[in-house]
Amino acid sequence: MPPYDHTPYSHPLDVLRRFMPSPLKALIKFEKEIILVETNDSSLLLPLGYFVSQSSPVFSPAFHWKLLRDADVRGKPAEATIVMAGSLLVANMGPACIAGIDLEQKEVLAFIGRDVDSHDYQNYVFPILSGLTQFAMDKKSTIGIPFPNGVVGANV
Amino acid sequence: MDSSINRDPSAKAHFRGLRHLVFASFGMQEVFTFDLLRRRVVGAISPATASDSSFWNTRLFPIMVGVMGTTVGVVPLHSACLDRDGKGLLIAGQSGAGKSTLSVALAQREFSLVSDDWTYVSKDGNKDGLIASGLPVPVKLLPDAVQHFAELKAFTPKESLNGELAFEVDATKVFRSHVKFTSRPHWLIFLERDNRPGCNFIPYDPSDARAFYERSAELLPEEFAEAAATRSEIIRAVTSGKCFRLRSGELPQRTAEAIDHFCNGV
Repeated sequence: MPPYDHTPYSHPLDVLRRFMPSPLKALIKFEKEIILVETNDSSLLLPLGYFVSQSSPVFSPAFHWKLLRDADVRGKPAEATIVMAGSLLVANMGPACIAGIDLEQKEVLAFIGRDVDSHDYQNYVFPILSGLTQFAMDKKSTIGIPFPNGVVGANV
Repeated sequence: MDSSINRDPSAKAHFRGLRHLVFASFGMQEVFTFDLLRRRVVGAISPATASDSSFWNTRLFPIMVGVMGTTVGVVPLHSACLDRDGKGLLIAGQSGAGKSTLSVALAQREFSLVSDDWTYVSKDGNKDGLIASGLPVPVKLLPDAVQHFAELKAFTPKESLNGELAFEVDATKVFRSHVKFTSRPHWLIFLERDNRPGCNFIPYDPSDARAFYERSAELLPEEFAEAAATRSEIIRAVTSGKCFRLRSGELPQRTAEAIDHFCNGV
């Protein structure tokens, strides 16, 4: 896979970076399920276990992850604040990493800053995203998922 | 609200969005997520932020209308809006053209100030027409505006939401301007600075005016195609009236006077 391009993304009509390209796609085995991961940085795929081989039967992914490496954001992830309301979970680790998990749509949408290195990702960010995905798949208790601040339930 | 969350008063707002979710974080711990599909906002905030009415009125509500407006039929237009006798004057122009300064100058004449920067346009319920709305936020003027308004000498420019250094003041208190929250779009003027003296009003082709707004409209994900179509419909309606380009080489007060006279005759 091509290495990650650190050129900041810029489009005058897309200040939210909604249309940042994510050309890399992979089907990943996660627990007993298959998830489709879409990203612009192959290093974000590495901790995800093994890829589903091309000879495997056609799978319908149980979950969809869209992970975008955000070259414009510097700094390390902060302690996570998890907010849960209705079918939405939000994991906020400061501007360096922010993720939304839609339980109904079965998708994780996340921005991961430039300075979040493989150690931070594998040991901190990835376990949180995995825990939330597992929670979304199984509707298990969030107890046991590494949320330092616990879970905040909130609606505005 | 969570008492374990700390507020960082110096934190700048940080925005990102993917598909139907838009994130707005303030510092390391405070965050709002706007769910455009379900039209709801989820947030985690400190007690200090929860009780700060200025934060809600001048930061979060404008952000919320800007982020969610298009998906509920309220189109944010980067234009000032003034009202005279129920008729709205929209002033568009590139950033730095002087929309806010001119708005304050107009609001010192016979016009009421609706908005100096972003105007939110929607269809008028069951009636055949449009409503242009502003928000109760301070007017934002760049530091050089002090040359035109002596009232600003008592204030110090501060860093605004987008990082610009600016005066952010209450127009009613500082300039004794009359303020309204809504109007009905009637005139549309595209403001251009000119090195030559004088104020020249030139009819503007509605299709060019429409293209100006469409070119500056935020890209929307495909699931909001209907909202994008409604936005185009509203832009078409806004630009179907009396559109002009105004090339001005005059000071804001002189330009406001020219607009005042011009609107009497159109």
